Amino acid sequence: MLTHYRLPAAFDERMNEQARGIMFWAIPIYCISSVWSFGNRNILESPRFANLDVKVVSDTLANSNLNNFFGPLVKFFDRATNAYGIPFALILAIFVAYVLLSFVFGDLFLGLFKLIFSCCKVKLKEDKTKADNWFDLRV
Amino acid sequence: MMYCYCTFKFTSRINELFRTGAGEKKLCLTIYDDILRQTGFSFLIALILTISSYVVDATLVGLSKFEKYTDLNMEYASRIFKGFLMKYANSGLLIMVINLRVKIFSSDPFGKYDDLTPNWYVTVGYSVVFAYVLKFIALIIFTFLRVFLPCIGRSCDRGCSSDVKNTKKKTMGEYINLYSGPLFDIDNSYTEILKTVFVMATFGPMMPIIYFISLVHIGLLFLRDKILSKFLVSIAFILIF
Repeated sequence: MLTHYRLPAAFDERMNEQARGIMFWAIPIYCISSVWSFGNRNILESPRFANLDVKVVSDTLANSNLNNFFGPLVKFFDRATNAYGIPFALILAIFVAYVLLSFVFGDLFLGLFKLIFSCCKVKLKEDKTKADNWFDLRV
Repeated sequence: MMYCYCTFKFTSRINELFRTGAGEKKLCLTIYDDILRQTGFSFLIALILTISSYVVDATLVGLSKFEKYTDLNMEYASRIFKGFLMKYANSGLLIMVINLRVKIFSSDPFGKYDDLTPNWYVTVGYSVVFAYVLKFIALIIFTFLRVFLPCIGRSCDRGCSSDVKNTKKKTMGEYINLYSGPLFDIDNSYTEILKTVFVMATFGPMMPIIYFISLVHIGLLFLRDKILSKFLVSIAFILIF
């Protein structure tokens, strides 16, 4: 049994972390897809009160030479201002800001996070110690 | 309009003759023929995508072994990332990108569709949904095969008897190999879940049925893992105690 039985592989947390890291990028993909679909005025007509006045910007982009290449981008920008596209565009903007800030000030954020939540961490540690003691007591 | 006219009285109008510039023609039959061809083509693409995803799986396992990782975690992590990319591209993203109308500077535009038009749903949408549905049908079939094929092998080894002491194997190693079952392919489970989430995120807003299919797919994946784990664990239990 000791020499022949097929032992299960000893996996650590790296695979799980990698999968979670990949899944993080589903958020912008979902937002982009949602803006494109729900922002389409042929599918869902935007209520007039909710429309942002960005026609000047989109028209400038559409009339520029960049339109050949960035045509879909101009369309996307236009759809992001539709009432049904705004929530997803907002989430996308927050996501992009978060990624950029994390990239530039990653360590600073981590430091602040640790500073703010250090109290909770200590508390958690205490709870764990209590649990360990309780376990010892029971044994 | 012609389609509506034809479907209103399907049986009587299917062979109706219409006078056209090129003589008399059965236009309703032509319309149905076109629809069948389009659906058949979408189904064919979906079938190719499903089969190719299994080929990709096997290739990636081979490649990761060829890379000779010293750590099993690294080997599986490498398989997860590559497998996810390949499966995600395979499950409709490639068809969507190929059909995108993109104009680079003054060149002629590539692809057919620059938006979600009804034709886009007929060609690209059908293929994506078909591929997705076929994938989870294939998942059920492969799971049953993975569970029952070793059972058939064991039964043949016992001479179709239910007594586990009967065996044609000559060494303990061969006997244990027969009963221990394969290793749990955790990388495949991770890749499938990731692919499902990403396909749902990409195509969900365009085709809401994808949400429902994804839910069923993830449920099936969970059940598959439970079933396979249970079978593997129960074998270990019998052997140890």
